[in-house]
Amino acid sequence: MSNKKITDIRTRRKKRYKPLDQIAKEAMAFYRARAPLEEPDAIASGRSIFEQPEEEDEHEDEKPKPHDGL
Amino acid sequence: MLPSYVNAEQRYDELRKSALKSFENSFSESEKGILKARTITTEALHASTAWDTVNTRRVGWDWVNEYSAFKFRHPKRFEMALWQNDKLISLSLGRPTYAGTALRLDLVEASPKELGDRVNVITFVLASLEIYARVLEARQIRIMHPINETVRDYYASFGYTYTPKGDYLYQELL
Repeated sequence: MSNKKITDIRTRRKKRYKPLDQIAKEAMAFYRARAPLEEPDAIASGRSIFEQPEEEDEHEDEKPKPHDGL
Repeated sequence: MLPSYVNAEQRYDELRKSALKSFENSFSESEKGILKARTITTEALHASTAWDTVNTRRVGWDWVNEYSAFKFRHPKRFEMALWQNDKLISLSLGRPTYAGTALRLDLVEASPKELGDRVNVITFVLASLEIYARVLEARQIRIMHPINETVRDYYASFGYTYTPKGDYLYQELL
């Protein structure tokens, strides 16, 4: 394997396995920097789960998987 | 209840709690004294019932039932109860899409301002959502069904893009 390929893999791994505290710090800094001064008074978003079709999932063609990732 | 559900619930509960702990570590010193980011507990659900007493509340969600149904369906969910000086100021719920490529913010509500001053919550909700999205290795964040144009524009000011098809805003994670 070439040296460049090894470097690429190491860079990707470093990025993927960044410590969680570092990820949190960067995410918070990102949103703080963009936050407008005023937030709308009545902030809410979403739709009651009881009004959603069971398998609603926008722009996804996969069916739900039974609790995978274990 | 299926053993696979119980295992998934426990595993993802650990991930949620560790993401929230790191999120709290990112608070400024002054915020650390007053704000807490926790999973949604019975205490939080009980506190949310005070929001019903306010006429200006924009939505009529019953968080007790919403949370119970959501928890049952989505063990990998995102959830956060944000507290300021031990007073509940926001609840939020989300879940990964079925392919796992995006994390959705399905429900978010801030306490009505008539019930007392509070910090602006959305900065905290979105940052927390992004942390959990990165834990799950999702590549996109979606904010589902903003309740009106003002709220939609507010999310857009953070760099989110609105897509009418599906009625959500999204941001790619780099």
